[in-house]
Amino acid sequence: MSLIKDIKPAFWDESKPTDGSHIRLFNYAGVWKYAVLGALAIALLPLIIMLLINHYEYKKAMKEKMSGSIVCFVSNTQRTLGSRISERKAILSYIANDSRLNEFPDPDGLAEILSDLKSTFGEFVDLSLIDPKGNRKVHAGPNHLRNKADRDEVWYREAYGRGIYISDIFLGFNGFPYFVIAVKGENDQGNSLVLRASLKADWLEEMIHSLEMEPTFDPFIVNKKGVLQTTSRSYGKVFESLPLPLSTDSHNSQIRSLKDHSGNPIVLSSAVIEGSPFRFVTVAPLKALTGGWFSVSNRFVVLVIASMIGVLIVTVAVVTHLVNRIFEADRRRVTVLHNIQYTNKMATMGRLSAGVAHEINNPLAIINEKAGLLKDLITMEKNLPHEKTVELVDSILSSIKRCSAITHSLLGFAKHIDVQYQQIDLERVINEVLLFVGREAEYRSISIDIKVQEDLTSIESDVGQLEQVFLNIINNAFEAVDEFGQIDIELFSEEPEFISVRVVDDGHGISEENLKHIFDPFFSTKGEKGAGLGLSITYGIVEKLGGKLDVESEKGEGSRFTVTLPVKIDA
Amino acid sequence: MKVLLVDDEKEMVAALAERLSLRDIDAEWVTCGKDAIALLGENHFDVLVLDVKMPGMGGLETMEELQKIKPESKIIFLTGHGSTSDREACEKAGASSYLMKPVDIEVLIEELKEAAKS
Repeated sequence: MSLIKDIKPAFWDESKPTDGSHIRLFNYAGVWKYAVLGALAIALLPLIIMLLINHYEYKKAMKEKMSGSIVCFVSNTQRTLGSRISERKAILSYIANDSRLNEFPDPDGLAEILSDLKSTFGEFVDLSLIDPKGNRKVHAGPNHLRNKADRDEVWYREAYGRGIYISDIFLGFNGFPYFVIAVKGENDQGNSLVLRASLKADWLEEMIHSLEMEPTFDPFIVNKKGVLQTTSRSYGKVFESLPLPLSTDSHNSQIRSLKDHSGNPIVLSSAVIEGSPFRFVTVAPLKALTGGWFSVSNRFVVLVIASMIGVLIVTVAVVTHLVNRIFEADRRRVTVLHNIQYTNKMATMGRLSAGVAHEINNPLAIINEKAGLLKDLITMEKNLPHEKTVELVDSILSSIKRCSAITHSLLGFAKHIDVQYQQIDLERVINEVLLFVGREAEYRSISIDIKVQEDLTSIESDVGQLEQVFLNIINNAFEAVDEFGQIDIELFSEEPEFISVRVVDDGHGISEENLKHIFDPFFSTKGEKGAGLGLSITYGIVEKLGGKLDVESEKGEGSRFTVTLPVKIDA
Repeated sequence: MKVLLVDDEKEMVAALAERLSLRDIDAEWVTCGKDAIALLGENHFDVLVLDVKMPGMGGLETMEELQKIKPESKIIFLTGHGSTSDREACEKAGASSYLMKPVDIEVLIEELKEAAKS
């Protein structure tokens, strides 16, 4: 956990300003999150899409390649098997049309033929000659297979009709697999006969399993009814029904992707072995086909993932760094503004001091003359009327009161450096501020009117800052008006929970151009004299107090500055 | 010697006039420039003491008007704040001297005598 604390950047926990101001600070953590998410989305999305496309394309290519391989295998094997069977058909056909069979029935002759046959094609087991009625006329070879095939009458009709019949594979009494080939022949006399041979079928299975193929291939033979003629690795033993669907029409090699009876995705290719009732089928699990994907494409995937991690790290680092910079800059700005405010306050006090000195000087002059007169009267006159003495002293005392009011105000102003929130009567603050400019107003014959809305509540705010704000605005009004000018100050509440103070003057106003920049720091219309900070600082203070400052003005007509402050501070 | 005091601060100017009277200086006082001009029309004053900052007609303006009526008027300025520019303007306008408030009565009397002589 402490590691996280170390890594966590400084701006993460900044949600509340610590200098007592109430403006909403820049939401650093929020901006960081959005920036990181945005950058990552844009940077990683293409990579992810690329990764997915690559995966898909690769899978497709592998599948096609492997499918091609399986189809090729099935096609070739089918042809090989077909040609093998054709060879046996051909030799039987030759025998069936051989003149030697004219001497039928001749069991010995047939036996000889059988033994010749067996010397080349060892799988032949027996031979029979069948007449058109289906009766076996001659037989050579062992008898144990006789009864097996005879039961099925359809075969000889097919043999006579089509000229060729090949049976399904069946089990002999000894447990070995056999099948029958029967061909029609014609002897010299023009008589048709059917030559029927039984052949061992185990060479079929042996041949299939000795073929060169992918290790995951499962090759087998089924008949037209879908009964297995050889044993499949995964889909049943010989003579069981194949649990997979096969379409029965197509003679060409076909390939299908499907799910087997256990739900595994497989690829199945099959082709009819020409001239036989058999169909050669090969099944391969789909995973096996595409299994190679992980090993070959691995390097690519690793590279992409490494890139993504790299992007993630760089993005987070860069965004964190940038937000940190913003945060620090903001911090510094707040500090600088704080300092400027202080400096400005001191400068304002400097400006005030001249006015204050004058304000105090007049009562002092009065005290000077009254005290001087008192002394004169005491030293020069013999009879000093009591009332006159008391009158003079009273006059002195009230002048002193005047002075102390001014000095107290000034002291109060200087004292409020730290922000301290309390319930404040705005009218009182305004009046205190007006004390500083009262004399100037008199000299320049500027009339000041204050209008206070009835039942105006007090607000929660800081006296020092309010005084600064109003002093600045009222001073500006004084500078704007000419002799005999008019300044109106209104206190009212337009919105609930807010109180507004509006200072309206009929001075020279502010042009539209300047109005746009009026609150910019270092913007001044006073040429050399103004630093241009007054209004920008005032604006900042009002913001800090949770309020807002608006200005309306017409060049040549006058200006209206409205300060709106919340009655309660939102903690 | 007859002097006219012009200052908008009644309390001060009345007391000052009284003090001058106690020192055998005939001092009259008014609280604005207009009154001063009115009085100057009918009376003669050896020196006029004007406050610089007054509402309405300020000290300098009053001086201009007074000089129109009586060009040879001797004028002493009193001021509460004493900026250099004010001082220069007053001296340029032809004032005899320029004093800061609160004024030392002895110093004022000296200046009055000086002005009356010149």
